[in-house]
Amino acid sequence: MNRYQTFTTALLLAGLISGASAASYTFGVDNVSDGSSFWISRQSANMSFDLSGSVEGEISPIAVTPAGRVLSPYHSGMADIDINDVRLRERTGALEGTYSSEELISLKSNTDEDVTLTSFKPAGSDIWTFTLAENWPVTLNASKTVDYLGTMINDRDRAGNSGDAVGSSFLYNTELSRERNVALKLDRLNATIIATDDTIVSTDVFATRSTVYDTASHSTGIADLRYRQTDSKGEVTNFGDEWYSGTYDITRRVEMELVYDNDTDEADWLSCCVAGCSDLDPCDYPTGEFGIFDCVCS
Amino acid sequence: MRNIWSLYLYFCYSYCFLYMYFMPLHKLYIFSLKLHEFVEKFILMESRRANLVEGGRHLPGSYRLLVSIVLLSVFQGAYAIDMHFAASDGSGSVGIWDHDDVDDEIEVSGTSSASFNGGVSMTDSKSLSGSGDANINQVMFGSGGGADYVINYALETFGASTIEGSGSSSLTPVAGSASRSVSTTGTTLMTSELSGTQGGDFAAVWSHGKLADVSTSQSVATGQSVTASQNMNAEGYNYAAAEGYAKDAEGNYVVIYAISQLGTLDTSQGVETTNSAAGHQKTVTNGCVAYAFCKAYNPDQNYYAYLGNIIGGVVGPAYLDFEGSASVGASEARAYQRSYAEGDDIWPWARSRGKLEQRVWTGTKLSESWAWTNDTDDGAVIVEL
Repeated sequence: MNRYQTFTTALLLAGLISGASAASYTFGVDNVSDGSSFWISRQSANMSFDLSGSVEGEISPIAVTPAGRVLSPYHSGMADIDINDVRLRERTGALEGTYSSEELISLKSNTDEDVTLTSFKPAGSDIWTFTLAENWPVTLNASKTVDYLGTMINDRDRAGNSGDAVGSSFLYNTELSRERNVALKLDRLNATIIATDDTIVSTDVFATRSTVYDTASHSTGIADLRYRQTDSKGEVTNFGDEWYSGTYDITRRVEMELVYDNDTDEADWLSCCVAGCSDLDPCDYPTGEFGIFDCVCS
Repeated sequence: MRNIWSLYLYFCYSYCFLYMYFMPLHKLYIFSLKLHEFVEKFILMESRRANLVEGGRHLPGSYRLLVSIVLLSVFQGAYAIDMHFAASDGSGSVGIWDHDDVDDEIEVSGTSSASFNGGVSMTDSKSLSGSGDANINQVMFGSGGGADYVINYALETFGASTIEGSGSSSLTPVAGSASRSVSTTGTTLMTSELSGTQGGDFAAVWSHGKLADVSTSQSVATGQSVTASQNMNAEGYNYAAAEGYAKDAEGNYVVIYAISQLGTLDTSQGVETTNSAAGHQKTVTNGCVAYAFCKAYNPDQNYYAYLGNIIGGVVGPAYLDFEGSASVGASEARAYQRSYAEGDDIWPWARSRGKLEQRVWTGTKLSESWAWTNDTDDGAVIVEL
């Protein structure tokens, strides 16, 4: 048998996209006075996607013409999933060697619920409050294993969920074995925009979500592991970046969650001091029975 | 008599000039057309001229809408909030643009909802209450279903002692409907205009009052045809007016109009357009001046049917109970009215392309008028009942 024909694969692939119907919306608030604005665009679908597969073989040169023209041994693979800001990106490239991998992806999303927008400006005030409620859940579960021994392999992935992200890059490895599990869940999105006649005062976008990224690896090249978590204003609150060069065994589990809580704070609905307390630090709002009914305004 | 009317016109022009000076430009333009028409009628009444000037110069519907949107964008208030909400299912889109410029003393509340089950759609509701000035403009649209349309609403009040308003809309890519109700008291000026355009068809209703208490309910629908209707009642210390206007894609249009000065106006009007235009009204006015007319015009064929009844009550009250209609298409233009009037000057008139009929009475009168014209016949008849 021609050695170039020893490349064998066993691939089981079951991909299914069913009932897909795209849905998108755009919401924006412009303040004419100073030109400040807030805009958001979202897109999702009633969709499910399932993929399972495995591959095992030798990455080796093959002859593609009778004259003996030879293709260099190479393996590449990629995946891009992006629905309603729930993302998974994978990139793999490997040169001659032995390679085996198993992968499982399961995605479900729906847009059954209405997207609701409310606006309110009370009498006696110029403060506008806009609230947006979207209930378009997305669930993405993905697992992957890679085992490689050969000239070189680069393997990178990044899981993102509404501003949160976790990813790994394994570069220039001659030997790599890793297992990775990702569980991304987007429950709903709520946005609150407060504006006056003069400007947009604040914008908060709460995507109620959870992100779990679990990985275990043995690598011989560069291992770069990163995570990032953002708050409702899009500000990065947690960030990490680790870089390893050499031979390492690494295990890591990252869990991130942001939950929109619409409960009214007791200090909000029952103001202690009606007037004259403009200098109160919000952090010092009185709580508890004694504090509520026995506060003193300066 | 001639001097009295001349003096009256002088005050009317002077007062309205000052008033227009402080109006937003787009309203100024529309109002100037009304004013021109209004004063024109008084001139006609004063002189009893036989050659009626063609009144009611209106912009074509699409241009009127375009001018309105552009001017709203350019001259919108210095303090205002714009809200945009649009949704799509990939094959069709719906959306709403909401521009609010209101005084602090006015409460505004709204809810919009986009649904994607069985195709994209959107519903919207809004209410406001309080006192002061309000300038609210809304543009709603549907597209992608082969019958793109736009619905436009404009509400403007100045110095209202009280204002109560509510409205709702339902939008799909191929059809939309909207209804608006607003009541104002003690307002220096109020205008509520609701219109729809689709495939070159345009229909609009317009309620207006100056130093008046006005209550109006308006609705518009697009789909197989474009329809608009309103029920308005008002008591004007200066005047109150209502108009319906419809124009088809060929340029044929009807105008339905009623105005009362220093009195009350109670009117129900409706207009519709598909391959033709039609309108009707039932109006009761009681004041110093009462006036209503119906007009149909085909500009390509110069088919013209135009009739009305104007009542002057300089000494006594002017009362008009008017029911009329007008329609126009490719082959003819028609108008009809039946009215009961009381006043010092009762002046019904009817005009077609080639004929004019008019009467002048004093006291009380029940009359009926027809005006019609086509390529073989035309006529104008007034019958005293």
